[in-house]
Amino acid sequence: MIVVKAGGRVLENNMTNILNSIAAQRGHGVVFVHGGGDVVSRFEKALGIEPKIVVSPSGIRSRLTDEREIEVYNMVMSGKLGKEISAYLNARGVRAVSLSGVDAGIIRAQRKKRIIIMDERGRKRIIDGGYTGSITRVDGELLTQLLGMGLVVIISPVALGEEGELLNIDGDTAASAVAAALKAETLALLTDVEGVIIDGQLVKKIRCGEANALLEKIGAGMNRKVMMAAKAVEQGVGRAVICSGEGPDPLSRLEDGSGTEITPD
Amino acid sequence: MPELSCPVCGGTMAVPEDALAGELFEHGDCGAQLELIVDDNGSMSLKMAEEVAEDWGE
Repeated sequence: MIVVKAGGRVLENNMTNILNSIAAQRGHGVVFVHGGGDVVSRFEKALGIEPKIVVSPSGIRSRLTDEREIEVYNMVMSGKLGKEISAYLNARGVRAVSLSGVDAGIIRAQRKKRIIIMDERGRKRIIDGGYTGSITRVDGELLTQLLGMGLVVIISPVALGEEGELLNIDGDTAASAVAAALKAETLALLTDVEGVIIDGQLVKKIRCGEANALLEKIGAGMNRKVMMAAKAVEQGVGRAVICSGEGPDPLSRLEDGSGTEITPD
Repeated sequence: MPELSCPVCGGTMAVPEDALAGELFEHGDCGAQLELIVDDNGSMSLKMAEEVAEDWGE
C-alpha cells in the first residue's frame, strides 16, 4: 500500500504524469493526498482576500486561515482540485473516489485556537490560529475497506473539527497521518526538487533518529516534509521517500533509488 | 521601556516600547515564559504563557 502526497506546485506542473503514475500503481493500493496552497491563494486573491502566510519559530511556513479563507480553502481543495483529480482518473478507467477528511470523519482534528509565530520583526508572538487543526484521528479501517474495493482514494486536506467545523490541515501532515494509520509500505512525498538537499548535495538516506538534527540545515517547506516523513516511519510506515514529482513517471523513483529515503533506525 | 511585574516571581521586567499583544518574553530573573496582554485601554501586563504548540495548516 502506498500513500502519495503531491504539493500544489508540482501537481500544477505535472498533473497528468503524476496521475498516470498513480494509475499504474493502483494494484498496490494507493491513497493520494493532494496539496494546492498556491491555487487557494489565487482564488483568494480573485475574491479580494489577501492570503496571510505566517512562520513558526522553527521556520515552518503556513497559511493563516480565517473564517472567510476556510470557505475558499474548502471550495478549492475539496471541490475543484479533489474532483478534477477524480475526474481525470475515472475518465481513464481508474475507479477513484475523492473525499476530504471531513467525509465519514476520515480525518478528525482539534482546532488550534492560538498559534505561536515569529512575526515580521523576528519576535515570538501568540496569535489567533483561525481554522487550522492538529490531526487527532484517522479512520484507517474505512480507508482499508475502500482500498479493498479496488478504489484509488483521493484525500483533500480538510479535517473535521470537534465542533463540526472545517479545518485546514497541511497536506504533508495529513499524508503522514494517513500512512501511519494504514501502516503503509511507503509514503511518497512528491515535490518540485530532487529530494532533501544539504550543502548542495542530495541526501540519499536519513534514519528517523537523525531527522530532527538535520532540520536546521534544511530549507523552509522541506523541513516539514522531513519531520512528517520521519514521524510516519516512527509510527510503523515501512519507509518514506521524498522525491521529485516531475517527469513522465514520478512514482518509478520509489524503486530506482532517486530522492531521499527515510528509514527506521 | 515599560516595566511590568512578573506574575511568577514578582520581579520587574522591561518590555520594548513597540511590544505587541501576544508577544512572548522570557523573564531573565526566573526564566518564566510570559505573554504580553494589552487591554482595551492600552494597559500592558504579563501573564504566564500557556503551552501553545507550533502548528500549521497547508
